[in-house]
Amino acid sequence: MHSTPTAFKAQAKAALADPVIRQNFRGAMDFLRGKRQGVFPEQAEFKALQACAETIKQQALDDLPQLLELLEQNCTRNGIQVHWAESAQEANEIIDGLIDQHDGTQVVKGKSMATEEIELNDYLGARGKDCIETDMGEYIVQLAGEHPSHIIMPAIHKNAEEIGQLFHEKVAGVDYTTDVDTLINIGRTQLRERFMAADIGITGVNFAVAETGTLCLVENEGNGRMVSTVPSVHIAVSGIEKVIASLQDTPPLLSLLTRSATGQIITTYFNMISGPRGYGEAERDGPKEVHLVLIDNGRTQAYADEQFRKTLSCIRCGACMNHCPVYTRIGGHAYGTVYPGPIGQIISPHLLGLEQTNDLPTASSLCGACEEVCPVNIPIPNLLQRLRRQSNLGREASTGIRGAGSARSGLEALVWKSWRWACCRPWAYGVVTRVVALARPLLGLVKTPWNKGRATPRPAPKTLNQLLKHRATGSNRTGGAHGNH
Amino acid sequence: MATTKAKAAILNKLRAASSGAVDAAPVSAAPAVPTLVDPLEHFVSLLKANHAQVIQCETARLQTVVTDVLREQGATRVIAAERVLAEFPELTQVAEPLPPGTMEDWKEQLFNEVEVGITSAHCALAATGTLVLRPGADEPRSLSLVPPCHILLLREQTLYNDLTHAMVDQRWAEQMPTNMLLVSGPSKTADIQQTLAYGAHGPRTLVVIILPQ
Ligand code: SF4
Repeated sequence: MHSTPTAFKAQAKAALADPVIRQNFRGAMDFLRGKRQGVFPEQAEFKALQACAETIKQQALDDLPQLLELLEQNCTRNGIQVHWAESAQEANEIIDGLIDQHDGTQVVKGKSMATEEIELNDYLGARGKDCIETDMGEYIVQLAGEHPSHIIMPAIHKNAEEIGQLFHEKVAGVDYTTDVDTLINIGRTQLRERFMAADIGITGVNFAVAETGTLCLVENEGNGRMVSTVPSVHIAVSGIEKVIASLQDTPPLLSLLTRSATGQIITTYFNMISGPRGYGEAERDGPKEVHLVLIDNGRTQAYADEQFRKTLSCIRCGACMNHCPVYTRIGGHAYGTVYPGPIGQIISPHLLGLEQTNDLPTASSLCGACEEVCPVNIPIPNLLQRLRRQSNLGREASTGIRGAGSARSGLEALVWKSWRWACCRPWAYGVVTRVVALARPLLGLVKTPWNKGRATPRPAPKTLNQLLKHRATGSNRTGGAHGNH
Repeated sequence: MATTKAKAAILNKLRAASSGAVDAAPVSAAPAVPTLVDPLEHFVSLLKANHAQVIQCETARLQTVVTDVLREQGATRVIAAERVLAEFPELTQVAEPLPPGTMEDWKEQLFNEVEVGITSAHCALAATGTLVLRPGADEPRSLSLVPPCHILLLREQTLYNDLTHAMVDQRWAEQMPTNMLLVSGPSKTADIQQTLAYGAHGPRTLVVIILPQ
């Protein structure tokens, strides 16, 4: 049940027809929107904070190469080993190599979209290494053999009954229950064993602070702390855009992230990691080694374009999907990409190329809700329109976007070309519109994608040109009659 | 080395692009977090709303208060950070220090036997109801994480208005410790049908004891 972005239309259709999916997403989205609204009582405060966060991210992006070097320098000084990967393949090789270097057999992972993006679990699995997801939502999704359907709440597509059934089937000795406390406790017990036994822990990164060489992790459950504290090696995986300049940039970003994501003024844990065990003093626990893997994987492509660069400001809060009328109805899996919803629609074309993703930018009514709630003010609808244009570019137009022009259809191009030709020649235009008006009774019979769900628009029996001509002669007569009185 | 090559390639691409200078972003400073009228009250009410137990007590009564909490928890194996035992020697009556050695030596005990961990709070943040922990040689990171119940001792005078205040006043950026942690309640999750459940992976119970000056 691996969905793909190329099958977007079919997947969206299937999701729309599934009442359980519809209900699960509707309920979850209403909940998350309500929570968010509760912690942003004043629009003015949100706007001020948003402007500040936008500036922080924008400046960090403008200085990205320098900040990345500074981050590496300061991490290295702190004892964190930094690795660079241009592609998903390279990132996986680095991580796999690190695990081998330590004869690692038990790998535990905290929630990380970057490792979903590079499909680390599959890569390690193919090499006989088990990588256990430890975030409750991710654990559920992994147990079900699925992928996350939301970047903040991975198992949002499942309800308690489905999860109860899953645990009953997949976890030895567990009876069916829908009691959430019991279910969470089952997960807790299972995973504690794993934390204790693990030799490698893998996490993502929310913010990487260049000034101090600090990796910040935001979470509620404590699994991120477990994974980065108990195993003797911690590997943090991050996109290159997560770097920020200074520690003082974290409070506004943290506040916006947790409020936008789950409607909390702060999460239970905000973990700032600036080095392995005992780097500076004789600590008795914590990982003996900390590694940071910095991933490009298409980000430099987005970076190269002034407008697309804004895509990289994203702090992955998920608010855009929670407020998207399309996401709310079709859910996360229909997109077939790791990042679903509006952010997925604008980032995936850079990660995967437009050939595979050119349906995604079209899955939007451009209502603007995503842009309105985005804590870093990413102009998502504009970027979607720009991507639509990119995917329809002609072969001759050169552009830095992989797969540009891939949605271009010869027929569509021909139609537009002919339309333009006719519009520039009044006589031709007149002939065409008259023919269309005459063919009126036949047009209803033609099957087009348009009339699948809509009534076929019927051309008027007389063209505007004809009507006006008629009126011109007619009104002259009536005008004359008036004049006689 | 593949990673050196990757680094050069990534930085070159970024440099080539960033030279096409974008307009400098307008500078807008972070809006200040409003100064609270009664920070302590705000702090306590937020912590309670987040399901933490909060007790304010005189230092002289600390041992009694801790004993009560332990009785309530039915705890038999209690470990306090050395930092805590050094500051409040009376707690050796109710809590023991960690066994000698490093985590590898006592990991199984910590996971399977220890019911309560007692640590100190470095400072606290009123605006979000947050405790700042600064683990180190005399207070392991895992003691506030692995045992199902976590008791935190906080000196009232270390309460700051918010995170920015604390990090500026204490000049964190000059020297970050290997680990610094903000805690704002017991571990929790809403991953199953948006239903809140406590004790996901970290402590189920968080008890904050606030001591006066
Ligand atoms: S695009 Fe904006 S709203 Fe969407 S996840 Fe990123 S930061 Fe959040």
